[in-house]
Amino acid sequence: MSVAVSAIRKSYAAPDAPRTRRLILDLPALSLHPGEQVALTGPSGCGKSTLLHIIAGTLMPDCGTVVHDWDGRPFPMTASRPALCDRYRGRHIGCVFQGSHLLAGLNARDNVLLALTVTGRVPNRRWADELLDALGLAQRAQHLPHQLSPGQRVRVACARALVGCPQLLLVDEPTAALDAASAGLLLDVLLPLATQLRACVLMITHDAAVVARVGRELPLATLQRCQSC
Amino acid sequence: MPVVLSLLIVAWRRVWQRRTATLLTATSVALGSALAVLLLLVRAQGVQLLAHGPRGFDLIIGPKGSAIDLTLTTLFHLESATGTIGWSFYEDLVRDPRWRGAVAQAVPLAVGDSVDGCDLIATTPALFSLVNGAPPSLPAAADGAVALAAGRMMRDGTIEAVVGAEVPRRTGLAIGDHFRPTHGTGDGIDPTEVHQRTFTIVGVLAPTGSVFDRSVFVTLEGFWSIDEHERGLHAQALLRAAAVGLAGGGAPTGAGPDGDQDPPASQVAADGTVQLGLPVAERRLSMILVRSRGAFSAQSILYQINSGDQALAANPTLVLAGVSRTLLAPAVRLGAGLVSLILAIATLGVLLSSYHAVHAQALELAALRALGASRRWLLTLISSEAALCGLLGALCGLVPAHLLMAVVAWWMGAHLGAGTPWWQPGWSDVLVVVLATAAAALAGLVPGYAAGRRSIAQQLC
Repeated sequence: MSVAVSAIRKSYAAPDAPRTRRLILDLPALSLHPGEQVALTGPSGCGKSTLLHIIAGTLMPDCGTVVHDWDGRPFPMTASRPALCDRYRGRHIGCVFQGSHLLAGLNARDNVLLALTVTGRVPNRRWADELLDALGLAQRAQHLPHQLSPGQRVRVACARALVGCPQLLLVDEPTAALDAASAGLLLDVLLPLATQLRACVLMITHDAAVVARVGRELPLATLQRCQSC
Repeated sequence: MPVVLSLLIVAWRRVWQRRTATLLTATSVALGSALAVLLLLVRAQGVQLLAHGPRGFDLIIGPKGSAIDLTLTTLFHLESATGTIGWSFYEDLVRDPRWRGAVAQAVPLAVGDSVDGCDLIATTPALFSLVNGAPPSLPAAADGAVALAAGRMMRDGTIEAVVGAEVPRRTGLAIGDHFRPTHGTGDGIDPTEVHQRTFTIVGVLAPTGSVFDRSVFVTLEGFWSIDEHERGLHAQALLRAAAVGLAGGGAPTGAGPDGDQDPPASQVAADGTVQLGLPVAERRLSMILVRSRGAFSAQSILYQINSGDQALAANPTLVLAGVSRTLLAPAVRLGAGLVSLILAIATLGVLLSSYHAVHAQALELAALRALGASRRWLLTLISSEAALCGLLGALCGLVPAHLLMAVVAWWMGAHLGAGTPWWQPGWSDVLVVVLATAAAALAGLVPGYAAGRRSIAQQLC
């Protein structure tokens, strides 16, 4: 899968002056190529998470386009109905957002299978267990989220994002809550799995070690048209 | 169906995860459901009671007064008999050619005594053939029909008795036992006012689900042969004669049909046969049950009797329909209104609880949307959660409803002789559970819709 972002602008109402719009993102162009692993970096508040949500179709830009291309079949994310965006995201994109946001009432395995359930696919328990096993959570499959450490919860969230075999993996600071050893362990598993699935990875990070592990760095602040963003 | 099942499982796990709030909401639904089920069960019992009231007869003839009182006294023993009609009226009814074309069968009844709280009914064995629509010797198989469970039928003109199915349990009396009736019926009787006449139980009736079950049946001759009845009826005859004299312009003489002498006391032969001392003219009845030869005949009898000044005729079916229309129906409507209000409040509780849950679990729901869950899926999930809460509450409400119904059934059995099994689930249970679940599911649509409209990015960023 490839993603083409062009002329994206996104502004929010300023918290202290609601009638004033504050421009967060003003990106002329960005491309993600099939199978590519990219680290999206930049200072806090420069619009990294906003860009991630726009690419995922969970947030619409003020203007500009985002087009996904899956095996030669383009999907205009910014010009499609929300229901189509939901369907496309469920089938082709895996998301790991800041904070794992697991469902508190479901154990680790069911949280992973949930990604298949919500998109109407048959839950594949064996595949979910294989992913949990690969992420070092074989003994934690029956545990509820509150019985897991923050690092384990992030790994469950990663398994949940991968269980649908996505072509695009969007990851927002996966190692923020982890120590260096755990972060390294997570990347040791996550990146090869993504490669194995031939998924394109876009990962937000502030961690230089993570940047070093992926193939390409996109410093968002320097890419933006408006330097004040 | 794995997708549907998975959605329901997710819904159930989420409901279980906030179980304290769910329990509180379900309790309010349970309260509303319990009241709704109870109302429907009581209504069904009332309808059944009124529908099964008169069996085998279509008219009740009694003293002048209230048709409702006469009907309720005859069918449910709810009131005390307030007057009498002459035996001669009954004889006219069955022998006079004027009536014979309209009256198929008539059975006389005299009431006013009891045995350990069970009402005593003086009648003839023909009562049972009237109620069954068949001779008493034939085993009656129809629902509510009267049949002998043990012993034999009492013989006319004797001091024998048969008792209803409940009487042995209530009084400890059995076949072969003797008893003496107490004067009066209901709660206000004086237990020391026991008559001297002793009756012998010769049979026990099978259960009928009516007041027959807690009644003791004796013959009219046995009833009239009670010393206090003989003297009382004689005194009444004297008073009537005096009243007739006054109305005719003469001086009160105090002399009755047989002068002011007490009638000779009745004698009971060794075989239990009664030789009545009470003159025929002084014998009185409480009411007469009549089976007419058709609806037109019934109407004709009703009109002719009510046009005269001797007696009152009532059509029990019409009277009960009137009672149902004027008393039961408004009460049921009022109850239905109250229950609807309670259910509406419970549904509102489900809506608020669901709305609160959506607000509190906004991150979880946003994560679901990010995973690809459509707005419709989210709507179904939250509506299912509300429906589960409603279903849980409605099912829990069935338990107190049936326990309360047990009390009502006991009361109806004790006072009306028409208690029905209270534990059996019926259409009312299904109806209330389905309605409560559907109402809760509908209530869940509002927060479900709201959850789908929220910005995913705003929640997750």
